Amino acid sequence: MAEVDPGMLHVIVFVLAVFVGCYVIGRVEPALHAPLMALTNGIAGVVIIGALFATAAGEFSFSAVIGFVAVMMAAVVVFGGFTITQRLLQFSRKRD
Amino acid sequence: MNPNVVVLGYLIASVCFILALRSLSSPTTAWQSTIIGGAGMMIAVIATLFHLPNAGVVSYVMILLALAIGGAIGLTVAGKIDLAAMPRLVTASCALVGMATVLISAALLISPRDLGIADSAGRLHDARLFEIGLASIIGAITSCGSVIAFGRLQGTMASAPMALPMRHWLGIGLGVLIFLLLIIFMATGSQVAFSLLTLLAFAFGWLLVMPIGDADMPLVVSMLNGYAGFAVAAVGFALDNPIVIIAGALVGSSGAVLTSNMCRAMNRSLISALLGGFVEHGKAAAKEKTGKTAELEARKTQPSS
Repeated sequence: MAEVDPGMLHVIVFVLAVFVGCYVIGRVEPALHAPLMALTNGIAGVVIIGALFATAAGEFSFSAVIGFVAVMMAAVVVFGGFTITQRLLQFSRKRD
Repeated sequence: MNPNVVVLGYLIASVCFILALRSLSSPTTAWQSTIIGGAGMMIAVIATLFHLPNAGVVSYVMILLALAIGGAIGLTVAGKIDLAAMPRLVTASCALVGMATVLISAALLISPRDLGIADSAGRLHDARLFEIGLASIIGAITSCGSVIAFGRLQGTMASAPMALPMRHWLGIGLGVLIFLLLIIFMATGSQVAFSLLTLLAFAFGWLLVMPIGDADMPLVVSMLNGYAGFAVAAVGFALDNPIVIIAGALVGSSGAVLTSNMCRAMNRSLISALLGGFVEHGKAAAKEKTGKTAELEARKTQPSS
């Protein structure tokens, strides 16, 4: 197995994660659709990790500038996504 | 830091993400979700900060500055916005994620050696180029589609959905062109092919969302959310980073499942939602036809009155 391309292992990880995502979400009740959408949105902000790598590509390089902008965008998504999820959940708890 | 420790941190972070999504399936545990998810995100980011291969002081200053600015914008906007405007915020976030994906793909293409994804000769492998191109394509489609959806929800754009004539053929043509460009890009790794690819993918995203009616907007928001997840996963493949792949796959698949659930509730087919406006037109025409035949039949059945 040593000669297997590490990319293939990533394909395995990807497919298994897709299944986990399907089964975890499978039976969510309609009242929680909105917070779920907001939370997955916040988690999609994990792209910030790619942006961190790009920013650290080398000081004052073009990639670093692109990465800086990308980190900023992803940070908006992460902080915004989790904040709005929190507010939606508080709202639905208050209403009950 | 030892890379194995970093990967262990990624493992903890992905378990946190799964638990956060899991806790949202019941109202009694829902309150934990943001805490667990936030903890996962923090672990992933901190582990990455210890793992940046050639980061200097300037890099860290830039990262902290970007985090502070982006975080402040995110907190204030999400803290103040009316809760009813949540779909708008989601589309705006999807646009940002898509755009970030395109930018990161560009950075990966420009400086592969510094990002540790080049082979020993300092060049990019075919498979790597494919992943970079794919990430950029999905990111561009998501980003442009989300901007249109945002404008539609905001009401700034002409709220009547626009249907270009021949858009099915236009869509197929664009798709084929993007595919051919992706193959050229894989063979040559040229930046011109990459830019063209991305521009055409932007156009494709526009064509995808523009003809969709207002009534289907909730489906589009959920669908774009899933697209953003798969774009993130593609970046994870290009970067060889497990946490980005796992989180992207989780978001993408849960977005797809959520969209299909909503479709079932709204009595629509998932295919028509995922493919956006391309199949919408034919379906509407068919419905109109059946409506007309029904009317005719109704007239036929009661001629005596």
